[in-house]
Amino acid sequence: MDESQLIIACKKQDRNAQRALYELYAPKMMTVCLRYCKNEETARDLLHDGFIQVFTHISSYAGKGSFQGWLRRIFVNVALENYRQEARRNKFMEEYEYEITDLEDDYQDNRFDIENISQETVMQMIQELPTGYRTIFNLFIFEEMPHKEIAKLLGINEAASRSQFYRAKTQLQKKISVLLERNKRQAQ
Amino acid sequence: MNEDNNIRQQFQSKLNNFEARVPEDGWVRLEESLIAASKLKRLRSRWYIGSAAAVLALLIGSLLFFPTSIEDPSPIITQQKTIPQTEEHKKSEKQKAEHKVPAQYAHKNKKKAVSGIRQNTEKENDLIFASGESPAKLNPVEKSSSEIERTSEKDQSSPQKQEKEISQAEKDRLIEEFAQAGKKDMLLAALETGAKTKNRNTGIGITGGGGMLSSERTVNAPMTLRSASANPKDKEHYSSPPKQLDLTSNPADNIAEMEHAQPVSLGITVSKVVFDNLSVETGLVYTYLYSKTKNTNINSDTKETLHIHYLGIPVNVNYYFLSIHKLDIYASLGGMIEKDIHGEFRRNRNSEVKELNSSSSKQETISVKQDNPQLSINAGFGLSYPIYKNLNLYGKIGGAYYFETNNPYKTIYSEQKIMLDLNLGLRVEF
Repeated sequence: MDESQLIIACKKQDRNAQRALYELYAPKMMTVCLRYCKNEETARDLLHDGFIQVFTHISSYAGKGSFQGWLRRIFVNVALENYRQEARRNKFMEEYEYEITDLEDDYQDNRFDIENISQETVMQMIQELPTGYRTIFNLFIFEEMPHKEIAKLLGINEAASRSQFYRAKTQLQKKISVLLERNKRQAQ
Repeated sequence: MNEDNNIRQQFQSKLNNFEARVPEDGWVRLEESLIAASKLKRLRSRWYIGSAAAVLALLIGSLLFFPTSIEDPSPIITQQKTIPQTEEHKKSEKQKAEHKVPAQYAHKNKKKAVSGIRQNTEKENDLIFASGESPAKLNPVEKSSSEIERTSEKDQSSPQKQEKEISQAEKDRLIEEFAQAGKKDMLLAALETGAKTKNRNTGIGITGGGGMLSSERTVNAPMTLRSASANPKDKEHYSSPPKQLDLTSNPADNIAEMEHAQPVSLGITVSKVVFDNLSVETGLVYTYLYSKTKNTNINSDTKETLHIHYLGIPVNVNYYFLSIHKLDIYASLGGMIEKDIHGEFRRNRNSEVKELNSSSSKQETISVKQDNPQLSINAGFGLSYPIYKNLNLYGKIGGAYYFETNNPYKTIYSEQKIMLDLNLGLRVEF
C-alpha cells in the first residue's frame, strides 16, 4: 500500500492503515518532537497527541503538497501548544529577553563544527537549550520562519525572538567547543 | 543573514535523515486513545443531533402555527357602559347594527385572542350565525350568553371575579353586537383569553429534571476528583494525596477514566404573572450529582466516587409567546444559585508491587463540602398544557451555563460548563 492509498484508508478510519501510517512516520515525527522538548517523556506525549490530531483531521488533507510536510506542521503546532502551556506556567520568556547589542560580544564565531559530532549529540545539545531558546532556534533553523513570524506566533516582540536566537546560537557554540576540545584531549 | 543561512544548512543537513527511537508501546497507547476519542465523538454527535432536532421541532412548530395566529386583527371594542338588558333595548340595538368593532376589551395579545377563536370555533359553530340567516330559529343572545357562562364555568377558577370586570348584561349585549357584525367569535375569543390570562396570575408547581448527557473522559495522565484548589483541611483525611496516584509507575502507562453522571433534580416552584404574558418563577430545587474516577496502572488501581447533594434557588422569567389550542409555548431565561448541603467522597486504592511481593488495600470515606456556591444561567423553551382544570403539565428543554467556582471537588458543573437539560413538572395556576 503506497502513501496515497494509506491516506485514503486512514480517512475511512481503517485501523490497520492508521497503524501502517504511524509506523511509517513515527520515527521522523519523534525527531521533531524531541527537538522541541527537554526530555523524551514529553516528546512521547507530543508524538501521541500529534497522531491523535493527524487521525482526527486527516480528512482535511486535500492531497496538495507533501503529506510529510502536512504532518510536520501538525507536530510543530502540537509542540508549540505545549510550549505555550509551559510559558503560561513558568513565564520563562520574560527571563531571557535581552537586547541584541548585549549579545554581539558573546557571539564571535559563526562556524558550527558539527560535522564530526553524532546526530544524537546534536539533538541532545538542542534539547538542553532553555525552552524559549530551543523553540525559537527550531522555528528559525528547521521551520525556516523569519523572526517576525516567530514573534507573532509566540506572542513576543521581534527583538526578543532575535535575541533569544542569538543566545541559543551562543550556547550551542559553547557546547560544541567544549565537546570538541574534550574529544581533542582524549585523542591526544 | 547569510551566516544564519549557513547555520540553517549545517543543522538541516546534519539532522535531515535522523530518525529517533519510537516508544514501543506508542501504537497501543494511540489506539486506546483513538477508540476513546471515537466513542466521545459518537456521543457528541448524538448530543448535537438531539439538540438540533429539538430546536428544529420548536422552530417548525412556531412557523407552522404562528402565521395563522396573526392573520386576523384582534377585536376592537368602542363602547364600555353597562346597559340594562331589556327586549326593547335589544331591538334598538339591532336597528343600530353598528359594524364597528368594540375596542376596550381588545386583548393585548393578538395571538392568544385568535388562538382562542380557534379553540372555540367548533364549539360555537352551531351558535354563531349571520344575523340575517335564521334569527327566528334561535335567540342568538340567549344562546350565546349561556354558552359564555358555560365556557366561563369550565375554564375559570373564580368566575365571580370575571363578572366584576364585565357584567353579564353587558356581555350579552356585546355578543349580540358582534353577532350582527359577524364577529361574535372574536369577542368570545377575547373573553376566553381574558379568562385564561387571569388564570395565569399565580402558579405553584413541582418539577423534576436532569441533564441530557453525562460526561466521560479517558486519558493517560492520572485524574482525581479533587481539584487543585482543594481545601487544605481536607488533606488531613488523606494518608496519600492524589499526586501519588501515578508515582508507582510511568504516567504513560496509566489509564484514567473520569465520569460524571447526569444531574438529577427535583423541586417546587412558584410563579407570578408580572406583566401581560411575562411571569417570574422561583422556588427551591434539590440536585443530586454523582462522579467517579478510575486510575489503573501496572502497580495500582484507584477508584474514587463523589456524591454531592445541592439545594438551589432558581429565578426565571417566562414569556408566553404562543398558544395553540390549549397548549402554551413559552421562552424562559434565568439563573440559579446552588449550594451543597451534603457530600461524600470515597477512595479505594489497591496496590501491588510484584518485585517486593507486597500488596495493600486502603479505603477512605470522608464528608466533603464545596467552598463556593454554584452559579448558573439558563435559557430554554417550554410547553404547558392543562390536563385537569387548572392543573398544567409542563416541560422545558434548554441549556445552562455553569460558572467556574474553583471548588475543591470536581463535578459535572466544573467539567462540562454547558449542559442541555430537560425539566418536566406539574403546575397549579390560580
